[in-house]
Amino acid sequence: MRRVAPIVFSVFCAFAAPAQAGGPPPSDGDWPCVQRRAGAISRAAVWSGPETPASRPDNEDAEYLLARKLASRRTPMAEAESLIDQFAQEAGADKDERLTRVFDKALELINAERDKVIAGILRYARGQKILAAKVREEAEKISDAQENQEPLAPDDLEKAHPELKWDKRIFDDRARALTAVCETPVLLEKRAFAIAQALQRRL
Amino acid sequence: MKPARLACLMLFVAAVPTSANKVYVTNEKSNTISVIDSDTLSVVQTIKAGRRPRGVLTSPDGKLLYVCASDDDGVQVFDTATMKLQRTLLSGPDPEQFALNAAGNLLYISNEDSSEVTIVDVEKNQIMARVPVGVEPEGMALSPDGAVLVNTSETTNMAHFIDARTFKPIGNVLVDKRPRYAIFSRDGSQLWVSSEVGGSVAVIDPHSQKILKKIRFDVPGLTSEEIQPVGIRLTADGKTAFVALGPANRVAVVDAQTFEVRKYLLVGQRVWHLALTPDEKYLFTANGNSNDVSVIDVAGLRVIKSFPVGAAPLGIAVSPH
Repeated sequence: MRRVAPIVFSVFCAFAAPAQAGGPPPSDGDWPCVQRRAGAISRAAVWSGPETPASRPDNEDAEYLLARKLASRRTPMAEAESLIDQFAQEAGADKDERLTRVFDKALELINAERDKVIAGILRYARGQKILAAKVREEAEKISDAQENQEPLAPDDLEKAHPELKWDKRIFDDRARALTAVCETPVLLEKRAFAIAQALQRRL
Repeated sequence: MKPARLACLMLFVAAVPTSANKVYVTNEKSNTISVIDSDTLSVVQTIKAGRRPRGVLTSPDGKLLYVCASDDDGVQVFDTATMKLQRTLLSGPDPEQFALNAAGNLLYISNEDSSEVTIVDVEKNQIMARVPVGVEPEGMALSPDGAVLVNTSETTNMAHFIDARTFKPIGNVLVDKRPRYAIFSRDGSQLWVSSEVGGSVAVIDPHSQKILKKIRFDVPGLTSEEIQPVGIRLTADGKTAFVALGPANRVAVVDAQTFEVRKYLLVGQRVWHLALTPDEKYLFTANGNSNDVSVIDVAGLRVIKSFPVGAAPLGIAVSPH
């Protein structure tokens, strides 16, 4: 039986265990996250207030400004709440309609950001796939070259093949970062829900 | 009666809470149990639990709280008076959901990883039987007369009927994809099974093992993928059912006699399991993504409050007294 050096074996193991790198669901080969890939956040999933107003006012600057602040995760929820309070107090007779417009715009912005994040995750997953194939190929070459020879110790093997070491390190670092990246769409869904709730409380 | 004495009595009556129950919520990611007071509708205590706590229920007398610590492969037993951990029972691997018999001495546990149902004698901490079922067993229900045990398997898509005395399989009913939860009506004449991916609830006649009705849900503005039924609660009079719809963030109110959906109530994100207070005044929902619990006023069918609990709340149970 061919003897495979430990590092080569560990490289094979890393690529044989997709769950560690997120585990793509069978229906969506490129999706690397544990979290299910879901479409855009539906209006109805977060909102039980009025329908989108049919008519558009001449000036929606205030609504747009508030929606942008609310959609940004840099705005803490406490601040978002007081911004909504202030807006509601000054909104006048059309308060419900204007709050609904703020919600629609904020949801649009959050969904746009979420789309970008998901596209980024897919790009990243494709990059990882290519890198994985490259590392696997390098590992196989080394393994073939070592046939009928005494296997090298892991440290010596890394010294002899620095390209394999670096590619593997990049792959591992990216895989570790994936956990946080995959959580982002979920965080955006939470943000959309929290904003919708805060706006609905002022209707 | 003198007015002063009457006033004093009325004050006393007003001051004594009449329906204070404890509500227990398992927080899957923070490994804690939140204890809620059903009068003040607030969290009064947070207890450390085992790893990945999921299924939760109380003993019939309310003195003990059982929690599936899934990643610790055990069922934890807490004394509800002190909320101290008393002991950990054998459970088989990865216990997820479970049921307790009316006498309170036998636990029926679904083992997600080993495709079995484990039956445990609670007092002796002894495994009485291990029954092989379908792949990824989850929902567990015992008929009110204690004769039939039902388990749902998420991958095999079946409700498995097991004789609760001999522990022998007695039948299977094919339901829609990924059945997650099963519950008998109070009179035992119906078994309700929710299918998460199938997006339906099957109402089954447990005697003939025939499906009486498949209830589907249509929330305007949502795609069918967003509607994923999981937790179910039925009122004692058999007239109303509540179904948690997962990422639809809603609880469906169903007329349990006509099987028509009457209303959808927006609660929190990713609503998993539900619990009714014994007086059926309130329905509590565990919302897994928004990390909170919503309270539904059952008479008015409206959400009256939501408040934060731990991370990823999943299971929920109410003390019987």
